[in-house]
Amino acid sequence: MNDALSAANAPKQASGAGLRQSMAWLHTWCGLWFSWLLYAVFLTGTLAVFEDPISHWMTPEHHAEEAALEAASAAAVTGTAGADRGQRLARAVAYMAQHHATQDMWEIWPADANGGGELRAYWFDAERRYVMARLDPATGAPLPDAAPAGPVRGTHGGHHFVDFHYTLHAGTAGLWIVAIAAMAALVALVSGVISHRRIFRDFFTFRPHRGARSWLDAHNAVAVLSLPFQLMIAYTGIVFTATLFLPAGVMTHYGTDAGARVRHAAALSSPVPHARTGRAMAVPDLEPFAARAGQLMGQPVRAVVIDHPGDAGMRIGVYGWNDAPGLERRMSATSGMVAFSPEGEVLHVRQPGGAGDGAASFTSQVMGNLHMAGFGGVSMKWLYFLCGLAGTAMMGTGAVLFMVKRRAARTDGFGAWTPRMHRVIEALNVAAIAGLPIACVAYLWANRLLPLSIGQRADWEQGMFFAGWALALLHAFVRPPSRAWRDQLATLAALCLLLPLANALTTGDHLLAELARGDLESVGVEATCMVLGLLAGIAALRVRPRAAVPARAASGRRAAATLDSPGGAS
Amino acid sequence: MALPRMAPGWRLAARVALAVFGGYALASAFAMAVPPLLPASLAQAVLAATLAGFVVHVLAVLWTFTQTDLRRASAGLLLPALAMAAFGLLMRGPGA
Repeated sequence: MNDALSAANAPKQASGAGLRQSMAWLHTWCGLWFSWLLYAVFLTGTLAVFEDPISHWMTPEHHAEEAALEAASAAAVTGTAGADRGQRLARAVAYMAQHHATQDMWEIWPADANGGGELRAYWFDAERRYVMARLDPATGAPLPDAAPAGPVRGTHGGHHFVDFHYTLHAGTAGLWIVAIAAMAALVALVSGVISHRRIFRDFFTFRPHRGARSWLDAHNAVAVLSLPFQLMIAYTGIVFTATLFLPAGVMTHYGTDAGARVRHAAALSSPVPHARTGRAMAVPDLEPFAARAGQLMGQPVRAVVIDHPGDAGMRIGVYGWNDAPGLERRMSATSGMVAFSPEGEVLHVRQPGGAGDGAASFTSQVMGNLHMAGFGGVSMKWLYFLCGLAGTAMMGTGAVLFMVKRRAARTDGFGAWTPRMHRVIEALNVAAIAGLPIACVAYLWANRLLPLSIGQRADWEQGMFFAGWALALLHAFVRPPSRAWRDQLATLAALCLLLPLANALTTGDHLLAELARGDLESVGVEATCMVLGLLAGIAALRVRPRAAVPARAASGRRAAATLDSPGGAS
Repeated sequence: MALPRMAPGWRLAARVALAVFGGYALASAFAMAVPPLLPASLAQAVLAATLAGFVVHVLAVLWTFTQTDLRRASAGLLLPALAMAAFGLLMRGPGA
């Protein structure tokens, strides 16, 4: 990989060596420039696997409420469904007809999977926002938003990590940036595989304490171990919004106007076109539709959606509630759906998790579910978490390897700019690899330390995440690289290991109490954090100060490569 | 040679631009041309071709970096792209 820049400009004819050389060049540079961003996306995406436990840990005031809800739903007698569903549906229709008659889409959620719970109505307001009203199940009157019983800890919880990992909190621009990075990841992965002569043998090779060699071996090991996972995650991440990133097909066959994507999406789930006719027709009694759909798809009714309500061309779609055992089993997380004409004719049936919409839709739904670990339950989430960490480690070791090799071989890839570029790359390595985890755990610390009373509290917590990261970046440029590595890894270790203490001092809760009441989500968050802190601590101890830059002698190379690396293969 | 040889830096920039934008053009043209050929409803076919388009883009990038001659690489990406785009536009239904 020694500066194959020239090799890529004039690769040898398609001989094996030339191909490997050009792929190695592509892998090195595509990998380097995207490694920091991909590391951030991969690490926060890995944390996003446990969005719910993290949110749970970050809202200690709600723990009792959550437990009560869980107990209530476990105790609820199944089989009461439909007892008063008809009345609930009728009340919601009356509310919508009175207040939102002109809206083109009414969506009614009559009850939870057990037939109780809230009655809700959704529609798109004048600004095309998806809005909701809670209705009194007994009267149909809109309910005011329930006031919280106790103090509220304003937080985005684990969703911060979800949102950051695919939009960087930057909306559509962030969505594009992450998608481009994902394409770069695919290019870097495939070119990395091609550039390898003996990928299987390399996987079983580890040469510790050998500087660049050790980093290369570590990079290969975590890469090969998680290669299928990473290819899958990068590709399935892009296809969530495939027609946004690659709109040519939709533009050609559905038109170039703003509504084309929506028309295409609608056509995906309803092969039978439905449009307003202009003839008025009252919304029928919905209970027979709900009952029929429940039988056809074998799920309790979650939502009834009426397109073009009040028009003879209206279409009534009924959607089912997924249950946990079903979701664990099925590759696609799509619920059952039955579409009716207003006269009650069945237009379309999709079984829960089924391919009823068509092969391409099913493929896309399965890929979405694959990306989000929607199946397989908790053990699958842990597998994803570990594979995600392996992928994160691959990006981190790759970025470190780039610098270790260049320090050892003293190659210059940037001409006169080489020392300055190397300094920048070193600093970015520290700020990305050690600094981002510091920012993540600083976010958890902010959750416990910020006063509950401040306004925009959730955004303040998120601000602490970015502030922590910015400080790490600044520090990485101010301190010499080996000091910066050690300082930041030690900071990370301290913040992770002391998090349970911060929790105990601010909320009075601690690991033993969590274990005693069976709150495994909180235990999981704190214990995982401590394990990661321990690893960061070991890495910090293994960073040794770099020797004064040795001369170009071969012995000097070895010394420089071995001395300055943050902790072996961690 | 008719054209003066570009400096290596510029040749590299041109190659990267060709891989990124030429590859995207090829992927786009693929998503335009393939749907009418698939035995599925138009909506499903468009989605299928779009999903496959990202694979086309990745392969196009890799292929561009294996080519010695930049002009040949440009032709190899852009001529099929033009042909497929034209075919897709010709096969467009009345609804679009």
